[in-house]
Amino acid sequence: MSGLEEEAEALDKRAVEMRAAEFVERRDGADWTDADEQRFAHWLEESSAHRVAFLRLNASWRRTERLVALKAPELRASSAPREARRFRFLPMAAAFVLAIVSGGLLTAYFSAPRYDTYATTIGGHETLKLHDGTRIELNTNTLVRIAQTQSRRLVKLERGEAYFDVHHDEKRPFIVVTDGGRIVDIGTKFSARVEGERLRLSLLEGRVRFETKDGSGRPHEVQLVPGETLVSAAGSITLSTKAPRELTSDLAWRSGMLVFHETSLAEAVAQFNRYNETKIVIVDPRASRETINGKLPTNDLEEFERMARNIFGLRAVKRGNELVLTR
Amino acid sequence: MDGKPNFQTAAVASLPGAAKGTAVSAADEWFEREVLPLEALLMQFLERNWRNASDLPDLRQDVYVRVYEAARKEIPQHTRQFVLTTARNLLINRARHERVVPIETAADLDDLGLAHDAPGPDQVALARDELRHLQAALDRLPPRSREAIVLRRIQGLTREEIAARMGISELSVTRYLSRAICLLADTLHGEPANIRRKP
Repeated sequence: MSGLEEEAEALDKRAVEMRAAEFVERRDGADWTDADEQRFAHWLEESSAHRVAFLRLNASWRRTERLVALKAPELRASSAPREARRFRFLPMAAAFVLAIVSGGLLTAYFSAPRYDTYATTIGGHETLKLHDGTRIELNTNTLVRIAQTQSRRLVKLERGEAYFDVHHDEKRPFIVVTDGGRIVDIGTKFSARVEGERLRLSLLEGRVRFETKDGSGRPHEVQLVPGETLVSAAGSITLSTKAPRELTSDLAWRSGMLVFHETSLAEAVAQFNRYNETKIVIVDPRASRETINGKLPTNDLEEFERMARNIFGLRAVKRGNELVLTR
Repeated sequence: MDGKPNFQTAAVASLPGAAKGTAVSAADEWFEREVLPLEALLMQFLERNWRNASDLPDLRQDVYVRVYEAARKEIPQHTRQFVLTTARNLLINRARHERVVPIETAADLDDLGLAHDAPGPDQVALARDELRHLQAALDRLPPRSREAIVLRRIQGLTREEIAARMGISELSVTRYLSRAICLLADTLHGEPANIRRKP
């Protein structure tokens, strides 16, 4: 190849990238027509270079969707109808206040809905069914408070982990409240786990919005797409994408199992201990770093012990509430 | 586990499609899900084994075309290994062609931990503070491109409105946006926040 040819080829590659970028942006616009779509499909078919350039740019373009979160939520168009609705009810509320005299009582009545409490013990697993068809599965050592009003369904996840299969109702939003922020369902299956201020949210299907405030009280919101996991802790939000297999493993508790892929023994023990009153302790730091694969029933202490013995040659000594594994 | 939970298929089905109205081929999906997250690793490899930095984007594109075409026939088992081996072969061919002095690519492959195709950077690379990362990527754009993309992506303006706002032609808006999209891709795919570069 001569130097000139090479240069021409390099220029051509840059042109392909710019063209791909143009398609990426224009396809997302309102003025994209069927004719455009055809031209685009044709261009894609022309060469693999076109296709990979498009796939690559489009993947990062989709990620920039998140940038919308930088926009202050109150600027959103969707808040307008909410205002209008509130206004309509105002005269009626005013009449009510007059009749009852005590306005304070009225506000208290509406802002403090009655909560029912549901909890599981260590190793427990319960499924709650709401009238609207929503299912909530509570994992081990979990406590939720549920309030249902005319205008919304509220779940306070106070402790532990739950899986939500929500029957979407636009008029009665389903909201999960945690210390770290609120999860608003937009037609969804998701799971949430709290540990103190730390919240872990995984979306399996549909859409869900996470709302929180930063240290200075500024609101932030993030919309998740299926396969994403959000971790909110100490004022920071981390989003990651998980392979379907991993998400499935994370939810294996729903069928009473724990699944490990290249999990360190220390981490496996931590997970296992969530389900059992008897806590496993590993003293040997080298053994803690060993990794394991496979699955175990969440409450089968004996099986865990057998695995530790057969695979890692660890001995188990029972000491009060603890099962100590040593070399 | 017996009785596969039903969300599994749903999660797979909802993976982003390649193109509106175009069938999502397995190769497209594989490329997005497994190859793109390796871009930082690939760029690092190319960078260390090719003297001319301005060739890197072209080399990357060549590697992508090759792995994509191979995947159209059959999806490779070990993506990481496949991508890096393809890159190495490409470099060797180029080097021969251009008669440049030997590259020690083979040794470098081991360096990158290729021997054990295990815990890839794909898992690591994806776990990051996405929004902060995006914002940093945005901040690094040239001012006009950044302004255009902010108006487009955050304020949701149309091309026409952006043109009016910035006082330029729609054609220029398109050019600024395209440039921004290319540069954002370089940052977002190529430089994950928490992959440590070797000095």
